Amino acid sequence: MKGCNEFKRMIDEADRPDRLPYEVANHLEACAGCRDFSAARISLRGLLTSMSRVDAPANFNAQLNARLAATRAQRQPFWVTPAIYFRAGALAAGVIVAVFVAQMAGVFSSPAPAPSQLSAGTPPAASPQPEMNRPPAAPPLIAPAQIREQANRPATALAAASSLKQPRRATTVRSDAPGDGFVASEGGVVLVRGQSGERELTVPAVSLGAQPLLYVNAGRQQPQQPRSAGTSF
Amino acid sequence: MASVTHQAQAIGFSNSHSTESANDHELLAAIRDGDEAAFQEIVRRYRNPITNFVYRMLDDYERSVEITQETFIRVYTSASRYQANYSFSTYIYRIATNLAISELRRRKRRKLVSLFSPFTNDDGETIEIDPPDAGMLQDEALIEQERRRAVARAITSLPEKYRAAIVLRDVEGLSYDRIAEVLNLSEGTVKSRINRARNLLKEKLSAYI
Repeated sequence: MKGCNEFKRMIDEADRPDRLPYEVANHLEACAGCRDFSAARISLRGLLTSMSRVDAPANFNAQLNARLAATRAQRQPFWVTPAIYFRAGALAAGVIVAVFVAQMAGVFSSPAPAPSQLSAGTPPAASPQPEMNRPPAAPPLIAPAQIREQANRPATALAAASSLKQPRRATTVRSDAPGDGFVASEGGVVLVRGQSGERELTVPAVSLGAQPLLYVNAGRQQPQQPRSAGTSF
Repeated sequence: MASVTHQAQAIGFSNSHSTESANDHELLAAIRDGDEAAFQEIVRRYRNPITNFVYRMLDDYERSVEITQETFIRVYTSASRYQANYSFSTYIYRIATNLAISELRRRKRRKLVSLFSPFTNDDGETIEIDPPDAGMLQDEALIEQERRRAVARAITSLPEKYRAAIVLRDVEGLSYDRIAEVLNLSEGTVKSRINRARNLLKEKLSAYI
C-alpha cells in the first residue's frame, strides 16, 4: 500500500503531470492533499513552460565567426605555451633530486675492495669521504723489530730509485704486537716515513674520554697530497 | 568514433543538403576534418536552445549570448577530443551549464547580488527574498509581462545547483537521465534537486499558482 509521499513522488517525477498513472489518478480522487499537490505542480510547470523563449540575435553567426577567428589567431605553438615550461622545470627538478639521492646513496662512489684482496702491504683505495662514526682503518702491522732492521739497513741505489718512483707511504707500527714488550695501555711508537725522512712518533697511552688520536694515512694511497700524517681530536 | 569519421568522409559535406541531413556525430566528425559548413550547421541547430537555456540561468541576455558563443568555440576547438559516448546535445548542454555556473560564481565573487536581501538558506547560499506582489494589475499584457518577470526572478533566485536542474527539466524539457548526464550526477540526485527546486519556486510564486 503506497502512502501519500510515494504518490507525490510519482506526481513530481511524471513526465506529464496531466497524464498520471491509473493508480495515481485513483488516489487523487480520494486524497484531497495529493490532489492539491498535483494541481500546484501542474500550475507551476505550466508557468515554467509558458515562459517565452529567447533566441540568439540575428548577428550571432557573424559575432561567433569573428570570435572564432580571433581565437585561432591567438593560438600559439605548443612550445610557446607556459605549460611546456612548467613541465620542463618539473622534469629538471626531478632529475636534480634523483642525482642528489643517488649521490647520497653512494651510487657514484667506487666500490670498496673486498677484505680478501687487501694484504698487509697493499694499501686500500682511498675513499673520497670517510664515513662518519667510524675510526680510520687500522694500519698494517709491522713488528718493531722490522722497523729497527729497516732503520739500520743501508740505503741502496735500488731502494733509492724505487723510493723516487713510488710515492712515499707512511708505515706504522702497533704497540700491542706480541713478543716486543710493548703494552697497549702504555702507548706505542709510530714510524712515519715521509718525503723529508723518517720519524718515530710516540703514541700516548689510550685513556677514556677525549684524547689525541694520531693516525697515519697508512694503507691509503694519496699521491696528490704530500701530507701523510694528521691529528684529529 | 572511427566509424563516425568514416561515415562523415563517406557522406562528404560538400553540399548543404547532406550537411543538414547529417546527424550530430557525423557533423562533429566533419568539423574535426576541418569542415566549416558542418560547424555552421551545428551552430544553426543549437544556438537558440543554448541561448535560451543560458538566459534562464543568468537572466542576462547580453551575457547569455556571449556564453553561448563561448560554448560553440569550445565545441569547435575541442572537436578532436570529442568522444561519442553521449549524445551531442548532452555534450553541448554540459559545456553551456559549466560556463553558466562559472559565470554565476564569478558574479558571486564580485558580490553582484541583489539588494533585496543578504540572507542565506540552509545550504549557506545567498537567496533573495521575492515577496509576492499582491497589488492590482490593470492590464492583461501587463499581467502577463509581470508574471513572466516574476517567474524569471524566481528562477534566478534559486541556488545554482537547483537552478540548472529545474531549467533543464521544466524549461528545456530534458529527461531525468539526460540531465544526470549533463550535470554528471546520479538520477536520484537530479530528481531530488528538481523536487527541492519546485518546492522553492512554489513558495516564491504562490501568487501565480
